[in-house]
Amino acid sequence: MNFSYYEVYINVLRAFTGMGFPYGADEDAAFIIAWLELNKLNGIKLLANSIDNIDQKYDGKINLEKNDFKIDLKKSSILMKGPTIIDYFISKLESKKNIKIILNNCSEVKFFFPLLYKNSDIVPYSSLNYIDQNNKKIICIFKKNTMKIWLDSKDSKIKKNQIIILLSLKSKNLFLKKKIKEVSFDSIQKKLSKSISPKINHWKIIEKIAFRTFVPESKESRIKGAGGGDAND
Amino acid sequence: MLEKKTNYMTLERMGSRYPSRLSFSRSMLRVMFKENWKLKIVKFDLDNRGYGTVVYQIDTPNKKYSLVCFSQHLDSKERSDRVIADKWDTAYTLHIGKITKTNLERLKKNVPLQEAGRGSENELVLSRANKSVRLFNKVVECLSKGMQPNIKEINDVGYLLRTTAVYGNGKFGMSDFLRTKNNTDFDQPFRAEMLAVYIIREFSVDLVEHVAYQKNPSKAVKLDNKIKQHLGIGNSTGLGMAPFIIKHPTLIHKWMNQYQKTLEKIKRKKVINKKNFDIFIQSLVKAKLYLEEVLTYDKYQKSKNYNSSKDISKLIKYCKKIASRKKINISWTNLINYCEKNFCYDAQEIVKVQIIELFPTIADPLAENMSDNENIATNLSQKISSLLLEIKNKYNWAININFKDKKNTFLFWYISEEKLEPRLGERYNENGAKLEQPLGMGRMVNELYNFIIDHPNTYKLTVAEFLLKFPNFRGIIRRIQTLSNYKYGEVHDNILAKNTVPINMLRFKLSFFGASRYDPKSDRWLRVSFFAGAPFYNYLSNKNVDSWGFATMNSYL
Repeated sequence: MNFSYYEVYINVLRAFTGMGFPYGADEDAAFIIAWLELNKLNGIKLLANSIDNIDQKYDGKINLEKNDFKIDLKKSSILMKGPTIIDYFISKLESKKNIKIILNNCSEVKFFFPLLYKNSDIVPYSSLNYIDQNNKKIICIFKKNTMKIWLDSKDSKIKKNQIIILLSLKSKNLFLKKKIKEVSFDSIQKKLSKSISPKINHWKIIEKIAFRTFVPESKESRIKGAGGGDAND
Repeated sequence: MLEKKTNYMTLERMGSRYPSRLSFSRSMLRVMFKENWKLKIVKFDLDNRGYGTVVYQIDTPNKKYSLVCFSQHLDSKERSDRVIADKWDTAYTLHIGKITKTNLERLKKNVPLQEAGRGSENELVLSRANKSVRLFNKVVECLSKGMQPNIKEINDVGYLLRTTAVYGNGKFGMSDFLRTKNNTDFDQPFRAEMLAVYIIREFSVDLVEHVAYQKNPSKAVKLDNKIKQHLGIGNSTGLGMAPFIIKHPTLIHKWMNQYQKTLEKIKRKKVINKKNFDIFIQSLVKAKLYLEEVLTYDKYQKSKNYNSSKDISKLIKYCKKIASRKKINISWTNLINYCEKNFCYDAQEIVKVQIIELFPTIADPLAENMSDNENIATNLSQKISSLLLEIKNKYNWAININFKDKKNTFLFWYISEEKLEPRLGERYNENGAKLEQPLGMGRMVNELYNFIIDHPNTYKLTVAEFLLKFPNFRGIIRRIQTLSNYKYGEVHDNILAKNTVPINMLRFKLSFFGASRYDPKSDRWLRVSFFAGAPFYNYLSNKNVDSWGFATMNSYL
């Protein structure tokens, strides 16, 4: 079945509300999933597979000491903590010029893509290093509403389940050889001109959770609502 | 400056608004005329009872579009304005491009089902309309006998067909506005919807004339243009519209700001031209007549219309006195101030929209810039002490409400299980409050404010540091910061309070759409008309494209 971006976003937003995400956190998480789905990065599938970790378990708090740039995420979901982490370090960027953040025990790196892409109009350069499920070193670079995913040919010291994020006020040029994917304003516009087709079994899981947020209409509400009463003339 | 003293975003003020040159129906028709959009019927396949398919094609300088209309038999027992209805007399979609046989077949299977069907990325609008039981058959009878209906009967109802929903922006699989605004002629909010509604009005007349002709081909006549121009297209509108105002605060600000900007530019003119002043007085006379002619049985609206009419009478008298002098010794600022001091809100708005009519060179370019990218802007480095000060300055209306008093949390907004539409419940009498939608911004700001006051150790933190510890406030802080420079973004009233009149929010939005003839049916829904008095496509001219506000029965003589 085909859906518009609006339908994907609204359904996912309702699902996050249904899973207990508070106002604001639900919008951020819905943006992450809808953006990934639009850009064919399996947002709906990733969410469907994350439900056991997040449903009624919202915890967006982050304990961090001043000048601490290393966080042990203990496998907790980026959907809950990612937006706050990125916001916090961007706020520190003015005084530091460059910030390197090491995130250990990170469960799903892709959830950072939309967050760094969204902020690429205020952060001139950001990058994300990780090892993918095929044990390949990957680097994603975010500049001015563009995300490019490359195979990282450098000998970077990174461990499995670890993410290194670099935020910088100065743009950089890296010489990388193999580009895996690119997302830009233009590619997003092209994607918007086509419907989105998530796998129906994953969509149904999300839809079922979204349904939790609906309330059966009361008789009183029905009588007072549009077209109510006998005034259909 | 008056601007500083007057709060235009209270519910009572919002519920007193009128359509203006900046309204979407007005600007759509203006663009249609200026850019010489062509409208023609490319398929007219109705049986003698008026059931079948009609396709209108719209050619703009950039693209072609098709409004596809399906008309079917509907048992009177099945006819309902409720959004939960599942059958309608007529159903519509606005499609990008010429209609092909394959697309027509696809649309035929889906459009009459409305919410239960699916659109594609090539559809912009989905709508449906029912016949007016009071008027449709009456007009058929008259025309089939070679007679014209009485304009008084037309005025009492106002339309032949009444829409009960006009969907756009990605609903039911249709094109997202994010794409529509960059790839079609519809770069302004609700412009595609307004075009669809305008053509549905054309269809309503084509349909009634067709049925009348089939009934009695030898005697049937067409509707006299002077009578048909008074017809609008009806619309039943409920709570579905209200959350939009809360969920799109920067867009709402944009609409209001463009309107206020128009007035501010007019106010800078120190002198009133005599000819303009005479036209203004005539426009007040027209508005007064409109208020006397428009029919509503709702006590609240009747009294509003009565009071406005009384105030407008006083103003006409006042203006005539000024006009009799050799020189107009009053400015538009003086006049607006005088009205704000002496007249009811509705009358004040009528005066403002009629003044705006005189200044197309100011208003019309602003009407072409009513869209907003709705970006959010979080100031992560702001200190909590500074945020607190901002709340004190800008949300005084919210922090002074006692939310421990049950009457201030009496209502809750929810999404109905039946049709996924916004509804209003009574918190202490109905189930479902645990699933309420986050629309009570006043209460959320109040909670944040009191939390900060109770935790003075947070004052020195930045917003980013505060949110690490208290992520539950993420949404409301972002909203406050985003709206920091958007003074019309927030409704300055508690919409959870027992005494909330929800139709005030509906009327605010409807005024920007360009709806007239407000006819409330309860505090939660109302009927309105679109394009009442507007010229039909074949009669569109430079003279009439912008002169149809406050249409009255004698407007076409």
